[in-house]
Amino acid sequence: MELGNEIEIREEELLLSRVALKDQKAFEELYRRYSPRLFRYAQVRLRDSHAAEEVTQEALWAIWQGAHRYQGTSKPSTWIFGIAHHKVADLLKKRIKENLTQDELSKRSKHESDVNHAKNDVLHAALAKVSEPCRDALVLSFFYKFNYKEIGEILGCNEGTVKNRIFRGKEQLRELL
Amino acid sequence: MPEQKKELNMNEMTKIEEEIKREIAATRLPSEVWKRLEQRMIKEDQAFKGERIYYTTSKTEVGRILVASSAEGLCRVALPSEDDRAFWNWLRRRFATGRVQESAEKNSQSVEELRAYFAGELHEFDLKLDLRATPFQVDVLHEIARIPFGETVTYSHIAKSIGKPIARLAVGAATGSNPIPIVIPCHRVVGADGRMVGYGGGIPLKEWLLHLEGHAIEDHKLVERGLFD
Repeated sequence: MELGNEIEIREEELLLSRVALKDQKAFEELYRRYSPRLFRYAQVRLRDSHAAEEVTQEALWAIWQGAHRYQGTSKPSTWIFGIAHHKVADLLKKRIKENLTQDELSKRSKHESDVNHAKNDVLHAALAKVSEPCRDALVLSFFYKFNYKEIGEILGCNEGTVKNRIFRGKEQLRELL
Repeated sequence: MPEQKKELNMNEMTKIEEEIKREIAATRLPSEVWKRLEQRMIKEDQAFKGERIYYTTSKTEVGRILVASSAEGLCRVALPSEDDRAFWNWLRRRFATGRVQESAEKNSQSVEELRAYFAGELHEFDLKLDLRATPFQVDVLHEIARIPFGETVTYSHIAKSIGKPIARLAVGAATGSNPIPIVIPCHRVVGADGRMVGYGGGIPLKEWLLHLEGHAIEDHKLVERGLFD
């Protein structure tokens, strides 16, 4: 592991320790570090900036409320993305319950005026077509450089499953691009 | 041909990864999100009825220190050699359900007196303390608090003073767990032959402090002994 990375982990463990004591200054720092990454993750997963904003807000609030539950058994970043993953999954489940079809969602995301999306339309269009569990693992691997073990911790599955999903996801992406 | 196709795709992957990096760097969560979270935090804070702890950091003659106080008074001082994590873990253990808040104001007297002490301008502290320790530690720390500026005593002297003459090692341990060093002057406790023995803030700092208080030290040993022995 790189030294810089190791220092970052220590710093973030300390920030979570302080957030557990409701230190707002520490939370501001955590927000500064993580909000862009979490928002982008939610955007890519949901393809809907408005929903992504809400999910990110809820994930951040859950971190503020739940930092005392962080045990240090995984990296802070893994723990934080695990929360974001759950918030995204909750929303996706809710959407299924509300019978929002994937078509409607695509239509909705087309209206989106997100400039970042436009720049990378081909990639995101392709990513959107990758099947859901593969896409999730792929995004965490490509976008955030988590390793298989860490992705397993975030998604709550084992390393082998992650490996398999990323392999299949890459295959699908290759065909689509 | 299939080989070439794979190669192309690998380049494509690298390009994608670079694009992605740029994308994340360009992403900004709308500032309203922070404002909404802040509103929720304010509401939550207003409803909070538990214990509040205030902390601040300060640069002093010996380096950066961290201090914390409760409504009762100063409860923790972390010297420069102490890991920040130890400071925060200590607070988490003692105030598990409390809320901390950065406040230079609530700690201003402690910080002023500590800075003045390190600068050699103050010999006696006039601070309210909130001593969070076990009854035995409290006994030991109270005894240590009585050692005046410029004096030193031994661990066995403290053990005798609290009526537990054989508890020398336990006294050493209690001294080591002093949550408010400097103000409770555990640097004034030395080994039987005037040796520096241990110090939470590090032996060099212990020697620096004893120098500041007018002692001569050679080979990590006091040259002159205090009046208490």
